[in-house]
Amino acid sequence: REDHGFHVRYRMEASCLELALEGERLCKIGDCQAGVSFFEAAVQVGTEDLKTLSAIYSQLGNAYFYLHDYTKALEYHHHDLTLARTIGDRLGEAKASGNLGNTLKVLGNFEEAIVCCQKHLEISRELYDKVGEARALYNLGNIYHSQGKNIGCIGPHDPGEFPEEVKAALQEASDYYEANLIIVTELGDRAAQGRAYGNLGNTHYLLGNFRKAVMFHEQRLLIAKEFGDRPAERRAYSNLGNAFVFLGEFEMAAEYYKRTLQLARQLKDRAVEAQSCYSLGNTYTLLQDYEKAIDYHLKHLKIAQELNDRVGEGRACWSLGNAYTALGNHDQAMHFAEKHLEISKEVGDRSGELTARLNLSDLQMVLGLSY
Amino acid sequence: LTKLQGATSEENLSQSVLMSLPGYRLPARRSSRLSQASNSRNSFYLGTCQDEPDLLEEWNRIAELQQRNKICPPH
Repeated sequence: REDHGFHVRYRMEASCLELALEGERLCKIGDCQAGVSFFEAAVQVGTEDLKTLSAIYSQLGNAYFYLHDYTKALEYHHHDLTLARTIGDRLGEAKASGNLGNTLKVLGNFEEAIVCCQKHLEISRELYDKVGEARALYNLGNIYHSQGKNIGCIGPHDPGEFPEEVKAALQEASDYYEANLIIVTELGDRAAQGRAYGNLGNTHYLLGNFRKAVMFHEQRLLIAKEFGDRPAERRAYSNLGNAFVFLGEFEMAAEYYKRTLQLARQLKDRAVEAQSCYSLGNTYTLLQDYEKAIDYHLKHLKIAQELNDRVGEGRACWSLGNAYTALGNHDQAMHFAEKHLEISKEVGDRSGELTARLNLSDLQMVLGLSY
Repeated sequence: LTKLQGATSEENLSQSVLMSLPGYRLPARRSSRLSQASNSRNSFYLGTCQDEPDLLEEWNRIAELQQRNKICPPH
């Protein structure tokens, strides 16, 4: 009887672990949806090995995070935290707290996210776990960065023109990224350095420190090239373009946006390609080269239509209307102002609709006078 | 002096009332924006900041655990 009991228990253990392993394998190859089913099945079967159970909770939370089901992610990371605390596993508690913090950040619950990631930091320091400490610092930077952006996106702002509370959050983010950078540099972790540089660059861009932003994005670019990480390279080009626009160095901005465009085409990312064309159109408008501006805005318009992006299409029409007006081509300007009005009404963009009406009445006056 | 203080606190009060109204901006900020007028770089900002993607744990925690358990089985 004793032997039989052991055998049954052994089979149960094996099948729970096997299911979990399969779940993990599926997530690794990018099929998190199927992975979740296996993890859920593993939980159904159950296990008495608490370390395994903790790993399953954690990966299930991560899989739901990838699938953007943050409520479920929260649920499993919370189970993981409870389990780790119950068995007195400090390292497990630290990891679970970090995961919980990241999920709370995405849900916009910044206060609780900070408490969780502080816990992650505290335990990592207590255990002299440098990797964990660096990770916690990076995650804390990300929370303050998101918080700053979240308050800052109410109403239109230029970088550097945010209210004090936004600046305070962004400054805090910058401090955490700097602290992270010191450790990952010590550890010689180049990939982590790249991430810190990228986010530091964007934080300084938002703070209005454009020179610093350029410096950090150049570092990010260097590491992206080292790793042959083309999406990261593409992000760096685009962020460099943005910073140079605000430095008033429009030729440099155009160069970087062109590289963004090139990579977007290679990576076959149509949305990024459209964004690059739009940025290039705007940059050539600032350079008062309206022919080139029109060329890029038309490219943007074409992709927006292909992707059925009505908001983007409206923006393209508005920009084209302005560029044709600058060139004195009032008929074309009229055509795009009308399209802008039509789309603004369709998508319920009140301010776009009013702008389009004003543009149309101005153009009608110009055309009326010229007849 | 008390009158002056009264005026200041009244100003403070009206300022805090104004600040809580939707769409109100401090006048100083507004005038600096108007100088940029048609050449505004505002259209660059929204959605253009490209952040690093969220970093999650690698998909090898359970596999690692299995490896360790093979070497030293759980008691």
